[in-house]
Amino acid sequence: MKYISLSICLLMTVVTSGLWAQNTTEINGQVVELKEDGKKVPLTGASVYWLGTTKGSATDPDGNFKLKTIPQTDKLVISFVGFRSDTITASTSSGPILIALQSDETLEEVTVTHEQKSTTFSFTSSLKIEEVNEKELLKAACCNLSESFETLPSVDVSFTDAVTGVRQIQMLGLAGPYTQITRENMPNVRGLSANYGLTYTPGTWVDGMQLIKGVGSVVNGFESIAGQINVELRKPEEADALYFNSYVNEMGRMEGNLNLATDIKNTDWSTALLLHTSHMPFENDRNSDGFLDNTLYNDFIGLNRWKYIGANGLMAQFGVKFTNLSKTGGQVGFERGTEIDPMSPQNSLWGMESNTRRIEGWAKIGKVFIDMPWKSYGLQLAATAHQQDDVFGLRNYSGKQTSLYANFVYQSIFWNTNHKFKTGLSWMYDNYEEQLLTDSYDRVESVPGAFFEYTFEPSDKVSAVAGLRTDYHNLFGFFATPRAQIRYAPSLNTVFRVSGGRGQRTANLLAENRNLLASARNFVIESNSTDTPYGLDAEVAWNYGVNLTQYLTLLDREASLSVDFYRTDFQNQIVVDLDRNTQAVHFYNLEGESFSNSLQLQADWEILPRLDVRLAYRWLDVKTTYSEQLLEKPLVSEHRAFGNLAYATNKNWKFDVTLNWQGSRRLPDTRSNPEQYRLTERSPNFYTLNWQVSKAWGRTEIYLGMENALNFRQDNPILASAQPFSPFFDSTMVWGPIFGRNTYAGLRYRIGRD
Amino acid sequence: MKNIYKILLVAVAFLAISNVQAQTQKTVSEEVQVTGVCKMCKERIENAALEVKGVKMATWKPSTQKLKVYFNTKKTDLVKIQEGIAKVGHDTEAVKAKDEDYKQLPDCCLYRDGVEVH
Repeated sequence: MKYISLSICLLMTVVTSGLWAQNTTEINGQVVELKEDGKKVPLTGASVYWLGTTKGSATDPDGNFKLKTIPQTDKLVISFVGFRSDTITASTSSGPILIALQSDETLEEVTVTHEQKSTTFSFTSSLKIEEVNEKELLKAACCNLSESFETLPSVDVSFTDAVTGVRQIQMLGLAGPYTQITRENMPNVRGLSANYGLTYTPGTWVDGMQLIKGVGSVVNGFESIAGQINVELRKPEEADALYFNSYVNEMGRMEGNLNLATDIKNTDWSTALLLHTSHMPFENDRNSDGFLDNTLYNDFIGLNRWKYIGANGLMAQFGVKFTNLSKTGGQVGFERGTEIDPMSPQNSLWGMESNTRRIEGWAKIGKVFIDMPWKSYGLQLAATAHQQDDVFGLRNYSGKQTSLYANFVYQSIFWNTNHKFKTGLSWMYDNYEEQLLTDSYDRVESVPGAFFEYTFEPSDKVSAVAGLRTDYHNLFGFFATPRAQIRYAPSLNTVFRVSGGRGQRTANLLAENRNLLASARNFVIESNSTDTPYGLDAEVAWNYGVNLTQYLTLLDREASLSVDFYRTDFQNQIVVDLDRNTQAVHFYNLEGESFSNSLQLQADWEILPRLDVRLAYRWLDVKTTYSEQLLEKPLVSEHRAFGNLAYATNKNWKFDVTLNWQGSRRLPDTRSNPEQYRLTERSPNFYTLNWQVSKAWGRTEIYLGMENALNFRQDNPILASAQPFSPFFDSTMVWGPIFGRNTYAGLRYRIGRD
Repeated sequence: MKNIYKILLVAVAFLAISNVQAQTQKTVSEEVQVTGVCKMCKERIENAALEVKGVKMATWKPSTQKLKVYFNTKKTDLVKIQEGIAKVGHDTEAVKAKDEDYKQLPDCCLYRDGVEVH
């Protein structure tokens, strides 16, 4: 593709045709390209939005657009691939507007069209559950949950941008928020924390995790689409009396964790206190792009929980958690709190600030009938308050979330224990108050629901689960969520499973795409309604999956092979379109297809005594309709291969090596940028290698490890890093590691329970 | 909104009914000796017990050779349950399995022929 720089003359003509209906609150018009011969050719997919806001639209195939007027401004921005954005004054009194882009002689050569282009698998459960225990988590010593998936092929982890350094997970090639993340089976990482919430759980707090691909149980709600990750925290009744962990890496990141647990004497109560602190005071800019490779931060997280286990089958627990994070990033030397003059920003440094304050409280009360062990009642309650205040260059984002959750579950049997059921009622309440630039987005979601799940387990060979929940959403109305799983084990070594069902969620598009503020892209939300969140519909998807796990004995040692395939079909999705315009990101309701196919092969084998090998390959085919074209989802790698070797000696030494190969990813279209700010069509593929050695002496354990030992780095992860206030600045085109080789070391010390 | 109230009503009614049911039923638990050897036996024994109408739950442990069974006294009794188990080839405290039923067992489960608990 040749790029020809254009000198564009924007011509505004007022058409006073009586045939075009006047609307006092809506303006409409047409964007055309004015050819040399005077012909007007409609431009499809041009961005049209109110200056300084996210209110906007895109032109249809005839070049037409419609837009509601807003009180804040009458300056309308028109921008289009291959043309420089421009601003006009528009009002309803002037009637329909014709916006023509006129060009010089070279225009005929311009093409403005897009090219068409330690983990175990549960045997008995109907769902394929990957049990991730502490041993697996210790393979990657650092640091929080978002970094704990390095040794698990089912979950992909990638950076959201080159400024915040936040890692986001992906399951089935779908972004983190499509995975329901629960803490002890209660919804946890959602809403404003959907992308970043995993970083709020330090790895040393985690007792274990369960990973489920595809839709899970209806008992925990309707939001899971790509999968479910349940995190079990340290239990007051069984955790070590004291567990201390410290970590430091060569970049200067320092972490400390302290877990304490005890029984309360002469009572049925026990309690645990979990504390975490993390600091990064040192500036690093190894790739010399003028931007910090990592954010500077001071994080404190604390949790206190209590548990009561009565002799009469009564159990109760409650807990409270505080999170306080403050991060600073951007250009080297940027000081927190610096005011940037919007008239002459180039005199200032580009900076990022992010402040998170969050408090959560939860309680669970359960009763098991001692004389009827199949029967129990349980009530789960949770409340969350989250305050987010961010600055990205000249743009501010703030968000406030208040959420309540209640779930009552009654469990019993029909006839006998071959026929179990769970039923109950739930209520989710969310109050969001968000602000981006001058726009406010407030909403209340209140969703009462009822569910019923029946499990038929006639033998060890077969089990089937059928679940249905019905919920009433105050903004989206009544909807039903059916889900089913079938398990068939023809022998003790073979399990075959099928699952399918529906998921629905409200996209928190500002919070989930906050990382895109670390670019010059304008947020354009193509609302089509006034009474739904962001004027868009709910996201609805169906997911189907099959998997096969085969256990075998190879050379007298255990091995397992597993294959799984999952398909997700979106009925509606909030499309995040980075391709239409390099200077904007468009959000709109899906029109057309959007799907994900995911295939994974995994082999685990104890090749020699105490030497475990894990090999995996996964293939993804994720496509979405962007502006009427079905395109591969950007920044998702189609192929990934993975190998992990773990060896433990009799003398408490542990060695662990992980090699990852990531295939290339499609990069968003940047052909309209000046030559020096254009990306290749696809990223290269690359390898990363991590290793870790640890040695334990009694209560003490020391570990030493290296991330990215092959020192692979994405060159120039930030577009236009030298001109961060220019329209070409973009730090979100990240496909590879930003830091090079990174060595870390740490210490664990534990005192067991009496 | 109407739909949601209906759903809630049904759910509440359901809970109430299942509770009332539980109170009118007389559920007891008992332990009986059942002879067997392995995991396959366990599944066979437990399923045979559950096949008996009125049995709610059955758990057999190879190590103790004991079956813990929960059942509704109005619908069945321990003898009927043991007859059901003997029918699939396992001897119980009160009922010995017939030779023809015993012979139906796979080789790994032949407890009378010296196969030990495994």
